[in-house]
Amino acid sequence: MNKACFKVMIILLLLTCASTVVADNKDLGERLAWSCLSCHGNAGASQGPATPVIAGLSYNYIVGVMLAYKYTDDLEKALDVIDNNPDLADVGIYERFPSTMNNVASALSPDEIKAIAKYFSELPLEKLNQQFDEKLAAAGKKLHKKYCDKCHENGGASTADDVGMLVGQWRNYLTFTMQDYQSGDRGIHKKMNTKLKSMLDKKGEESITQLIEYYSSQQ
Amino acid sequence: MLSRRSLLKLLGISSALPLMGVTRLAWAAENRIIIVGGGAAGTIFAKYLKKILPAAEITIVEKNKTYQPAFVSNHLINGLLDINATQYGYQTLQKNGIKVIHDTVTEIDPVSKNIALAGGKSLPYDRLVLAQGIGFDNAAIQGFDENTLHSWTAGEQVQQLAPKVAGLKPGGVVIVATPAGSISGPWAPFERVSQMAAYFSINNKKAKIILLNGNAKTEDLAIFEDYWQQHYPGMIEAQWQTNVSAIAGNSVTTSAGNTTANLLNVVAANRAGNLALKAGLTDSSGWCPVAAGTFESSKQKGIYVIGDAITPELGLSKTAQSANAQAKLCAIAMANQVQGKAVLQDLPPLIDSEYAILNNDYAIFRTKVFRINADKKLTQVSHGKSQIDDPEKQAQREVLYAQSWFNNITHEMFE
Repeated sequence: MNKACFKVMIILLLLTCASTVVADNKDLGERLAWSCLSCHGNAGASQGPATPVIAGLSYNYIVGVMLAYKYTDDLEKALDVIDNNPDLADVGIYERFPSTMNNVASALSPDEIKAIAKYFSELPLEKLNQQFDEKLAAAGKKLHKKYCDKCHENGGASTADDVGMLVGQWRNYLTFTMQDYQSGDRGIHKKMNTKLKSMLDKKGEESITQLIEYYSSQQ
Repeated sequence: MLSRRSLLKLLGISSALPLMGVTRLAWAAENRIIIVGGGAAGTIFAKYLKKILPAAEITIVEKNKTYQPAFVSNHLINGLLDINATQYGYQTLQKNGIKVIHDTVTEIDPVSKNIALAGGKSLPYDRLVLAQGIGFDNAAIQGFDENTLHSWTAGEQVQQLAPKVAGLKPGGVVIVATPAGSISGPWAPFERVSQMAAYFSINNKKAKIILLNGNAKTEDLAIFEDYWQQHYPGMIEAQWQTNVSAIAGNSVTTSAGNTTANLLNVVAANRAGNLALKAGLTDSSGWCPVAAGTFESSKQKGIYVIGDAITPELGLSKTAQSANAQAKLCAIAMANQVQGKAVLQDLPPLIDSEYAILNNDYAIFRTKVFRINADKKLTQVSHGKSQIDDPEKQAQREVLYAQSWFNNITHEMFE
C-alpha cells in the first residue's frame, strides 16, 4: 500500500468513526426518550387527560425541569450542573410539586437529560382537540393580552425564551400548574409572579379559569 | 476538501462499507423474528425493533383479533372505563410492516427453530420472543379451570366480572381470592376490592367483600386498608396468607374450612404459560430465567422472554408498564447485537411502576427505576411511592395521571 492510499484509508476511517459517534448520540437521545412515551405519549404528544405534552418544549426548559426533578432535595446541585456546563448558562431551575418524575430524573445523568431534551425539543408541537367554553375563552383572550403575551408570545403558542407551552397543553395540567404556583408548590419566575399577583388582585380567581379556557380553545 | 462520498469513489468502493457488508449478510440470513403474544410486551417489542431495523421480518402471533387488556378489568367495575373504549386492533402495526397472525402457538422447537400453530402451519424463526404473559397453575386449586371467573388475563374474561358485580343480589357476598407468590398486577387484588367497594357503597350498601390473599400483608398495603376503613367500615374482610385449595359451586375451601358466597372471583397461582413450560424455558419456580438487559432465555439460546413470564429474581414486577419497558430494552439490545454494536449500549432506564385507582378521586403509584450497570446487572437506581399522608390534591391528581398512563400506553401499543 502506498503512502497516499494509506492516508486516505486513515481519513476514511476517521470520517466513518466520526459519523458513527454523531449517529449514536442521536440514537441515544431517541432511545432514552422511548422510556418516557408510555406516560407522555407517542412522540411526546400525550393523549391526556393530565400528563403533559412534552414535544416541542424548548431544550433549556426540559433540561431545567429535569434537573429540578433530579435534584429536588438539593437544588444547589442542579445549579452546580449549570455552572459546570457552559452550554446550560440560560437554563433556569424552578422547584416542582413532587411526582414520580423525581424517580425518573434521578435515574438519568445530566448528559442523558441533555440528549432527551434535544430529542423532544426538536419534535413538532401538536395542537390538541379540547372542549372549551367560548365565553370564558373570550374573557381569557383579553387577560392573556394584558398579563401574559409579553413572555408567552403568539397567544401562548410560542416556547421561545424557554417559556412553557400553553397552547397544545392539557387543561388539567395547566390547572395543576396554576394551583401549584399559587400554593407555592412550584417555583415561579419573578416576573410571572408579579403579573399573576396583579391579575388576581384586579380580576379575581376566575381569571385563571378564563385564561385556561382561552389556551384550551386555541386549536 | 474531499467529501466522504468522493473519498469512497476514490477508493473504488460503493457506499456499503466492508464492515457493514458483513453485518448485512449475516443479518439477511437471520432476520426472521417471531413474537408470541400481542400484548403490552409483544406489540412494543415489535414496534421498536421495526423502528431500528426496518428490514427485519417481524411476525406477531396472537390468538385474539381484538385485544382487551387485563389491566382494565378493575376499571370496568365502577364505570371508570367503558368496555367499548378499551378494545384494540392490530391494523396500525400491520400498516407499519409488522405481520400479525391470529392463531395459537402449540409448540416451540428451539432446536430446529420452528413454531407449530394450532391452525396446522409451522413457521421458522431466527429469534423468538415469548411475550405471552402468565399462565395459571390449575392444579393448585381443585375445581379451577378455564371457566372459573378470574378476570385476570387479557381476553374475554376481562369484561365478565363487572356485570356479575353489578348483578349481585342486595346484601350479597363476594369472595375475591388471589394466590401466594408472584402475581400479575401486584396491586390488582386490592384495587379490585377497592373498585367493588366503591361500586357497592352507592349501589348495594349491604354487600360484603371477603378478600382471601395468599401472601402476607406488606407495608405498602396499609394505604388500601386505611382507605377501606375510612370509607367502607365493615364492608371488607381481608384475610392474609390464606390460600384457596378447592372451589365447588359457590364455595371455596381454605385451611380454615369452607366459605360460601354469592359470587366467586378466584385466581389460581400464576406462573409462566404452558408453552414456556413445554419449551423448557422455565426453572423450578415456574418462571423463565433470563439475562438482564437482553432478556435472552438462560435455558434456550435464540429465545427471549419479556413481560410477566420472566423470573421474579430480577426484581421486576408483573405489570404492563414493566413489560413495556422490558420490551424496549430487549428490542434495542437485539438490534445492537445484529448491528455489531456493544449489546447493552444505549439502553434507556427501565421504569417499573404501577398505579392503583381506589376511587374516582383517589389513586396511588409506586415506581422503581432500574439501569443496567457496568457489570451488566440490572440495578435499582431510584424508587418512590404514594404515602398515606400525601396531600389530598396529590391523590386526586394521580387518578388523572393513571388514566393518562392508560391512554398513552395503549396508544403506544396500537397506534
